[in-house]
Amino acid sequence: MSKKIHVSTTVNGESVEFLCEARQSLLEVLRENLSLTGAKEGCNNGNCGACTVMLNGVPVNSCIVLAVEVEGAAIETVEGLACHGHLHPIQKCFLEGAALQCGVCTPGFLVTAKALLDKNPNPSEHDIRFNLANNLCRCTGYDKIVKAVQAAAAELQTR
Amino acid sequence: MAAWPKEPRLIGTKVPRLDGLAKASGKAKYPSDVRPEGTLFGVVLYSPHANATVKSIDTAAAEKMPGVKGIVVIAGQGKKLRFQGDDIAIVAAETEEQARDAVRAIKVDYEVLPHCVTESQSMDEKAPQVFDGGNVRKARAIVKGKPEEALEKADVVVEGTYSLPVITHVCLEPHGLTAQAEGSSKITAWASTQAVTVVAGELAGSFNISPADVTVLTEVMGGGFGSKFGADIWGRTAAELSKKCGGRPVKVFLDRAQEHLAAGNRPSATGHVKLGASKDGKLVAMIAETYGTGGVRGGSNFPLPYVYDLKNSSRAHAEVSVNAGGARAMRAPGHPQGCAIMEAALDDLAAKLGMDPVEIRVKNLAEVDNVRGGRQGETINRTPMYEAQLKLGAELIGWRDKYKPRGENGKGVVKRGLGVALHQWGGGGAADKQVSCTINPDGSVEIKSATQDIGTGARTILAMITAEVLGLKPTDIKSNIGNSTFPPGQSSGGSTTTPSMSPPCLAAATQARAAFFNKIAPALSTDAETLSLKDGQVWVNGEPTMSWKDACRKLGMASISETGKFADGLSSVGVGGCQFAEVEVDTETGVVRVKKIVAIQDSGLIIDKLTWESQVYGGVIGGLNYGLFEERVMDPTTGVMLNPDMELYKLAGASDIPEIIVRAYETEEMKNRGVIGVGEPPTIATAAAIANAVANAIGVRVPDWPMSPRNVLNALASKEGKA
Repeated sequence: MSKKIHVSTTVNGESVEFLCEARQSLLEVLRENLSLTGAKEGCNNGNCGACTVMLNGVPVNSCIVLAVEVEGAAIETVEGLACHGHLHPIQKCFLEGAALQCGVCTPGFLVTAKALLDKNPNPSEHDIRFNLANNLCRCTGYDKIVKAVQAAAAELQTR
Repeated sequence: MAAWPKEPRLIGTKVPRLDGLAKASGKAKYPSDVRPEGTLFGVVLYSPHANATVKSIDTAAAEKMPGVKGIVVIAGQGKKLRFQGDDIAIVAAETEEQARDAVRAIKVDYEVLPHCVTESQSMDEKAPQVFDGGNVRKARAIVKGKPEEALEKADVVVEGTYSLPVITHVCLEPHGLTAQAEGSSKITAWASTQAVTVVAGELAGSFNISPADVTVLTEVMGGGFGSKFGADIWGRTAAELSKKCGGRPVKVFLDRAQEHLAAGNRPSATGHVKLGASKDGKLVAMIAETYGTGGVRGGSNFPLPYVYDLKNSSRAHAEVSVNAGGARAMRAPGHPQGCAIMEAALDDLAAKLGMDPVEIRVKNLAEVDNVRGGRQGETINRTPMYEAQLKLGAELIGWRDKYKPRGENGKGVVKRGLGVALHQWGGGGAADKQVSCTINPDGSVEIKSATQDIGTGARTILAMITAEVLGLKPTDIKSNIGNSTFPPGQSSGGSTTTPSMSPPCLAAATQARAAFFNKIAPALSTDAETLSLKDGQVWVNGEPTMSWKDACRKLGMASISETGKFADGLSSVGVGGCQFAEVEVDTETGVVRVKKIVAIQDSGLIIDKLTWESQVYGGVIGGLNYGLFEERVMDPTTGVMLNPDMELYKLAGASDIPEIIVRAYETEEMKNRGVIGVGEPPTIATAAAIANAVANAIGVRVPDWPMSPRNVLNALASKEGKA
């Protein structure tokens, strides 16, 4: 047992403070302390990508980031993608294009795709597949996920 | 007689899944996300050894650790631990870290015993016994005709040994549940399960209470693939710990390593096969000796011969026990193994005869291969269906232009090849399931059943059927499932969910509509017979007269609630399919890349084309994983699994996926059969088709799955006499 540490951070645009143990992962704090259960624990080992969140705009596996590391950082989770009750185009395209089934990997894919499109609004199919390679899915076969990201990119371009 | 609508508005269209919004926004609460007030975290202590006896166990220090509220010992003194991952104890504490600390503080003195964790270790005469009575249980051969005699007379015979490894389910959401006990008389559990009713029954059994006093909730869940039918020892212990801790909820979910070790796997399969044919490629006999391991649980048998017509065959299977986690059902249990071995041998025979693989398959379909039609007593011959599917698949993969005989795929380092395989499955409905349909005065409609949606689309399908009958939109229907206290619903397994649940759903909605008409007809000054429903309106004599909502207000205070039962003629059983694969093999590195897969599948009447398609894509990717990547690797020396994670246990990512073409074989004849499930069939033939394409590309059979660089290079070396 160790002393708890105070961390100040921004989650989905809002200032958040929490107390955590030095050994707690960001994923655990998001889920247990902040009740943000959108990010999932698939492997707790940095392999499956279900826990992906953005840390200062960069997608990370939150299960292998220590919570104390996010002091002063900006975190974006799947819960922050929708704006004023409107789904982000990536979410909408996943939903309409049947790019999700059981849905546990979905938050990770959505956040990774958002990070990609923020950086590269017009990615090639290869770019999409390459950038999503860290996210594993056991249900969909990826095809519809790639198509959903392509559709979202096209929709964002027309805005 | 119950029948599906002749001109449906919704059935057969593409409707996005109803739970998609919650899932895509991160708001969906999976059982592993649920944390009721006061939840304690349970962590499992499991055996680090493949074979051991617990000499002593001491939890005293652990019990005094900060935050620890309860410990249940599962394997006490003298108890045998038969595999790495076998459960020993569970600790419940205020936080997960505290529970992990306490698990580490439990002192166990093990008597470590010799083990066998691979089939070859276990089949050795001097092997230590996994169970008393021997490690190998050989069943008597099942003999049809006179295989020995027929094989001697065959013009051509191939002989080969083919093998598939143990693989694990790797559901993205781990196994587990959160249980809350109310004294000794009631339990609520949020479980990641494929069967809320089975979990309720198991928890009730362990508390010795009625299943009616147990509520199991599974709003959404993260995949099961056959491994999540029960509460399991960890789930039952969570309930026991909750009782012990004064009713505080206890959450026990496995970690990824435990998932691989203890939460189920697909058995391995090895077959030594002799297959004989006449000069024209007609099979005359098969003799197969096979074995496989389901770890400490068994269940490694699989169908063989498979699909094709064999008048003479002999098949003997041996069940091999090893010190590894027990097998569980996995998506089409046994079929991918039987399919891979049968299709490989048949392809090797075709190569020896210099025959086209598609042609030899058509030649060896049974003249009559009957499966059930739409109604009891009706039959459909599957053979012409397979022929039509093969024709369509061959066109879509470009067989005529691209196919070259085995080994004639150029002189370059990278070689292309084509392969094909057929499969079959059952998938019928259970007749004892029910759905209730309630129409409320505010216009809301709710259907209920104790089935669950494991990512398949069950929730959406039930809403579509109800909306079809009531002239509403699927989003107008509250499709309330995943609750064990609702009318009896089907477990999500065997591709039986949709064929079991669709008929009672249609009945419930139809009965509710009739009751609704009777109730509102007087208010509309007409007879019930003149009423119909369409586009959210009540129609009188074919004219839209009143909105659904306004009409529902005429119900006054009383809702309408009807419970529908299963009826014959709405669902059926028995499907076939074929898949084609095109691969590229680098003969220097042994790396296989799949370029294209074509999957043709029949499954009767399709309710939601969108979720149907998703199921087939998902089946294909599962099969591609079995074909190229997946393998549980056991260390014979230490007895532990070497790859119990999601990195070294290989799974395809987005960049490993080829072009996949999915086609429904949905003729009028098929539609008339009614609903048949599709969860399992499309995962069967993929690994077989990929392996056949690899053999076609490189000119030699890779007899061991997966088609990994190691296995491919070994096969190439044996071809060159270097092995």
